[in-house]
Amino acid sequence: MNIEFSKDDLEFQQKVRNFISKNLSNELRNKVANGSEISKEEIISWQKALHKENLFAPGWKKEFGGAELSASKRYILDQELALADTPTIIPFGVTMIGPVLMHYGTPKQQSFFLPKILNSDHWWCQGYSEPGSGSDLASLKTKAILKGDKYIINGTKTWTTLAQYADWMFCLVRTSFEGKPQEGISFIMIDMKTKGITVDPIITLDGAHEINTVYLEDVEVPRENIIFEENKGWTVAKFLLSHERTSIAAVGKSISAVKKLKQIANIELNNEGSLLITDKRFRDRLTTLEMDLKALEFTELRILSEENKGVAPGPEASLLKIRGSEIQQRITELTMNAVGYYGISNDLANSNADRSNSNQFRPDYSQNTAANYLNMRKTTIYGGSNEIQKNILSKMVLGL
Amino acid sequence: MNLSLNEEQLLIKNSAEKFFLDNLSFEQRNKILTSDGKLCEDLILKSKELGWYGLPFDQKFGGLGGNITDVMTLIETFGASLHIDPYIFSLLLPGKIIEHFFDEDKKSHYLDKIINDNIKLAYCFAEPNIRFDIHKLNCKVYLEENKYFLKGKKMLVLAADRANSIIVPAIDKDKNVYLVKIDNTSKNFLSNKYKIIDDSDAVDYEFDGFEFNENDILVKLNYEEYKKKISIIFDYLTLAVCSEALGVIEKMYKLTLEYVKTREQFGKRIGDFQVIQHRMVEMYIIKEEMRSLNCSAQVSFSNNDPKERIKSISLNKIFLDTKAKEAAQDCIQLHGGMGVANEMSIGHFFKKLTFLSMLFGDSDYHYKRYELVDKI
Repeated sequence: MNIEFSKDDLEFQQKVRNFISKNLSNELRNKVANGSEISKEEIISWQKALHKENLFAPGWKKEFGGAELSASKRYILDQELALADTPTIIPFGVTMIGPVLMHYGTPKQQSFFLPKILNSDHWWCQGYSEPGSGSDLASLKTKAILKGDKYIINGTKTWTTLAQYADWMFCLVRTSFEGKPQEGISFIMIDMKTKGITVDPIITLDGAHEINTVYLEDVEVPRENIIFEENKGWTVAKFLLSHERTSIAAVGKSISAVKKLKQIANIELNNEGSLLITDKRFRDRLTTLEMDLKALEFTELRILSEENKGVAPGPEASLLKIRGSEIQQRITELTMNAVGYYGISNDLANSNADRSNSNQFRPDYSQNTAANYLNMRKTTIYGGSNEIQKNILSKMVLGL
Repeated sequence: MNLSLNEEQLLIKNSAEKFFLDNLSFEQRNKILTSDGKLCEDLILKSKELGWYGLPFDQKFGGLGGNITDVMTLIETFGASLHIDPYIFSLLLPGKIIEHFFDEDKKSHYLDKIINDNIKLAYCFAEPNIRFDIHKLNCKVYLEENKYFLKGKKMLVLAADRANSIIVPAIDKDKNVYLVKIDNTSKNFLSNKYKIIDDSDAVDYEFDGFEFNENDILVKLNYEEYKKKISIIFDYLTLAVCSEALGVIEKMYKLTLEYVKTREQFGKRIGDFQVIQHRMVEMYIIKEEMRSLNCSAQVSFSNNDPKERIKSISLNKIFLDTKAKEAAQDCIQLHGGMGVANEMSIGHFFKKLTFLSMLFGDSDYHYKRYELVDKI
């Protein structure tokens, strides 16, 4: 048993580091580091740069233009990108609809969409949840009625992340009301420019506009935009969810966030005036967090190691999502404690305020601390809430 | 023994609840918060007609002479309604400072002004680099050619943006503490106004050799005496914070219970799932424990035993920053996506609780404080 990287792996690591230092501006790195909003343009140009080095689609097969990297190289890439404060890759295209198209898409769909995903020419969003269908996704009501060679779609999708930027949405719609609810669902791709689509912002606790409600009113979508078969959308959705589950464990991001938290604790003072990192109570909490993160990291590595041998991740991947999301939340909570009174300002509202005659003794590392804490509440809710993940584990793994 | 509210306290509670029902629905609150501030001041003036500003102070000084339970009962209703008057910071804190530190003449003068006139004061309790320890002062007073100067930083001065004057505590080389009154409109220091996550305002100040008059010194006393007095005042205020948080948790519990009773998934109410039921029961227990701890702290105040008071207050604050905070997080979780949407009230209660759980010391600070007092 070892996790030593091969010579080849180490060379790859160096290649990634070189790429980052050449392509990531200090300005962008700082913005990512202190949790500021990254613009659509910045994200796209970063993704394009990654693609130029063939680092954008590490899991994609070569025949589709991917890098088809080994599990250990993908792990290295993920870690290096997170530790260097690079912008988070938007997953809806490259890690979600991409694999779906490669697995279920027709050659025509593949040749049209995959290159545009790779080149970040299409921004994708995910039309899953509805106002009445959250955890119980299969109860979704958005209707698609076939009329000639077109579907007429009516309904409402919600919590749609970054739909305001999206060119395309992959969407679960109801094409049949017969049998079990899962059996009447289809997976379809919708051009966001189609008539009848309205995107309404939802402002979250941190004051940011990241998610939306998408209204679909008599939206006409060509029949050929369906993926796999009509009424087989649930199979596609499950395939996609298992992909999402591993990626939202966010191990690399959490390792990077803990590193930052330690740096803060090496500057901030405790109530007695000693460095916070030497405060026993704080230190124990930090160590407990690191213990759980180490366990998560090696659980992910164990799953990757199986994957290297060709075993696809099964329902046990749910545990990565459960612990990964909890750890993300706990890091932001402990960071709140670390920065003390600096941490309760609403920095998003303040960034728009007039800064003249202002005193700037607030440290940069305290920026957006509360916003991150508030925003991370979503992690145990989205991607199949942790309650649903526990149901999956209990049913599929424990056999209860 | 009696740990229930008396008739008068029930009246305070009911009339406050009625006031908020009429004047501060979630929609009305949003409207006030997005307006220019006049609506907020109107609401505060209206609330003063109910005698809320006089309640915590002696009749001798124009107050109503309410006891600790009267005041905490009122403040709890603020939490349950997300009241937008920074009452704790613009009335209670400066009022208690005046009550404990000022001589009789000044006491009458200033208390009357903040209770009955529309004069607003704000007290600077926090500084960078001292974390939550209100006893520490790095802000300096020094004399040069018979002129007084101030040098140092104050942060998170709550309700300062609407205050006419701020009261700055500072220390000189001989360990004398000065409470200095500073005109908030002066341009001779740096200030930075910003929003707190609960939508209230705070200001940071930086004094770099700011000159003030001898007349502006409200109080001068030695450091040991200052520490003793400030400690009692902040125990009282910490209890006020915990009482407001109790109101927040009660309301979050109610909203969440209502939500799990109405939200349907998988063909039934989510409250029909046993896992949800147990979590709601746990939350119910937590809010009851929180109320009981609050009672214990109120009792400790009346008993005049400083050790017991300090311990009891710290237990309340630890509970708020640990168990109550977890309960609030669970409320968001059980609301699902609705919990993170700003258009729902639940998230605003969550932000208020997040703010209150840190204010006047997080659990780490209060664990330590308890330990120090409880030494055998």
